[in-house]
Amino acid sequence: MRIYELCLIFHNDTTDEQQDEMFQSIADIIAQHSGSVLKTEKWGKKSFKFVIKKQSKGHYCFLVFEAATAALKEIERHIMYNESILRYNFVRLEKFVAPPAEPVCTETKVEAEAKVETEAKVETEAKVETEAKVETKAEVETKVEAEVKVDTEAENGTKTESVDVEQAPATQE
Amino acid sequence: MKRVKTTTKRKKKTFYQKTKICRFCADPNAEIIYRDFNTLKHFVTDRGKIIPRRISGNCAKHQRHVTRAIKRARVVSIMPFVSSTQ
Repeated sequence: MRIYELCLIFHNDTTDEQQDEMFQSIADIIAQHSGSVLKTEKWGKKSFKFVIKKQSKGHYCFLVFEAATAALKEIERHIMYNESILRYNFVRLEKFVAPPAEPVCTETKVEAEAKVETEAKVETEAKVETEAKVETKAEVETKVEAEVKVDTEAENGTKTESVDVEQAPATQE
Repeated sequence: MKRVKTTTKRKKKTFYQKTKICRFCADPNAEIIYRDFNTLKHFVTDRGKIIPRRISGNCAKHQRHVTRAIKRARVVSIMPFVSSTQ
């Protein structure tokens, strides 16, 4: 599934209804391939920078949709049979930020405050827990260190003893 | 008329070049979209040729994006391939 943008240039004589029909049929094809139309845009009549199919004006329409690649061939075939479309162009979009359809703040104030309080509580609890854990960890570490020290000292002691033992016969000789 | 002697030593020409900043790097909200004629028209000559980076001041990355956008816009007749001067 990828996001594509389709640019359609309709013939100058086409009406709004004909364009909507075309949009609907394309949307049906996209729906068949388990995709969805994200955005439609109509620029209206615009003059071209160069002549396309002996026409100097046309209706620009844009369609942003999400679909599998198989849908593109189907759409292309559908467009080819329609003579009212002068030109079309697919562009793959890397990202698409949908415009916010509804106002974001839908919650009531009381609910929002209650949420904030509960969140704060959870946070504090979590903090306390983590701190306690850290303390216990620190204690364990100090203990381990102490043990290690004792071990090393003991080893040193044995080593020194062994050295003494080795040196002792040398002195005897 | 008094004749002014020309000095033998040539004066060095001083160039002042304004430091060019990529406008798309400077403004993070600026986007390069092939449908947007008003931003792309700054990177094209009167004849419709793409202006090089050395003159437009774009960074390499954004110049690539701009050229791609212009070429896409040409296909859909938003930008001209060649525009004749009147």
